[in-house]
Amino acid sequence: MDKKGSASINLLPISYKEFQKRESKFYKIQNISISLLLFLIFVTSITIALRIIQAQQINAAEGLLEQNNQKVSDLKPREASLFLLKDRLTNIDQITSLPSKQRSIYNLVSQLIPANLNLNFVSVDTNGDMLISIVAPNFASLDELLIVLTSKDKNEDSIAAVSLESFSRSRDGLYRASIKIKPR
Amino acid sequence: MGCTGQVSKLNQDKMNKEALKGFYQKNRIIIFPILVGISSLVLIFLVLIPQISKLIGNNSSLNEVQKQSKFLEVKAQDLQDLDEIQLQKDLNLSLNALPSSKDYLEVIALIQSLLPQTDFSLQSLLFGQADSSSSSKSYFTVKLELTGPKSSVNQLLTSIESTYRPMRVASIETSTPKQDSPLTNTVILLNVYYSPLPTTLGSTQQPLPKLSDKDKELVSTLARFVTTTPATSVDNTPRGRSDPFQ
Repeated sequence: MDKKGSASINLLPISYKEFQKRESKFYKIQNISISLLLFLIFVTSITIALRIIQAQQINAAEGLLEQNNQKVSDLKPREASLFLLKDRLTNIDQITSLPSKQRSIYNLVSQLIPANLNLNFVSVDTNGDMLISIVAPNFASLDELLIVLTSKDKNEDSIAAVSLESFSRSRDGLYRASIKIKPR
Repeated sequence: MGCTGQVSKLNQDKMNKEALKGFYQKNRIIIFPILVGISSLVLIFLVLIPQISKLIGNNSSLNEVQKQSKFLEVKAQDLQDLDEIQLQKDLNLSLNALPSSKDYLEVIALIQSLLPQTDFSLQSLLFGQADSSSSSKSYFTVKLELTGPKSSVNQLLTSIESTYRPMRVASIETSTPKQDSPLTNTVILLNVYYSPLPTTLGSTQQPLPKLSDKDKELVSTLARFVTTTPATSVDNTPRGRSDPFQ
């Protein structure tokens, strides 16, 4: 008896019913398998199509690269000129960016020396060490020079050490001194 | 006999086919998914995975090629935009300032042009040893013996170091012969720089060097020297007779 109250009589043999069940199960599996296979074939086709497109793109990009490479190669002399110019300017800048130690110390000390002192001899060696030989009319001006040379404010903090190498007073009353100045 | 043999073989084939068909019909619920599974695995491992990995791999190489191509395109455009005449002019200025080899005559001419500004006179000039330990910057020494006013030594040193040709004072010696004399004997040792040409002048893959504002300023300073410095000429004509027996 079904829900509506009508009766149904199945006259088919049980083996046929099982056969039908098996068949429907097979068709279900068959459908799933074929769908899976078709899906895989579809994905594979798309992948292969993408690979073909990509290969074409790579060919085109390589062609363009070769073209641009050729363009740059044609302009190689111009590039070499620019490269050389940059190299020269960098080197010139590196050499000339700062004044030499020798010139700096010479200019500084010559500005610091009081006007009434007489410079007899000045030497600045390759290390930048300076030796001056001076004649002073009195001790005060020599003292003034030493104060100025050792004062950080006056010497722009460019002098590391000042040493009095020799000092004497001559018969004419003049003071002679040799001073060694070491730059910082 | 032959005819009956053929018939029996045909019958056997037919029977085998029937048996195979029957076996398949009976077990197709297992055989079919297995066959589909094997086909799928073959498709996945032999086609799909290699193709996808190639697709990914080639994508990065495509990006690389495109990037390289773009870089070269921009470089070529930059090179085309350069004013070649101005570039050659600037290059000549820089090569004049920092030559690739020792140029003694140019240095003599330059020093001679600097001295009148400071009232110094040249007593002697001696070329000394060269230092080429650095690959980019080498120098040779020039010893100058000069006589001039005491008060102008600073100016002389400044003008030597500020000229277009990179020169640096290596040592100074000044002595006053007489106590109240305004003149001084000065010995200056100069390092005069030159720089050998680089062995490689940029490869295609190398980015183009950019001239900074500082570089442009330096070029204009060098150009100013050319326009303000009077042309100094050194007599390069061969001396002596071509045939000494004439």
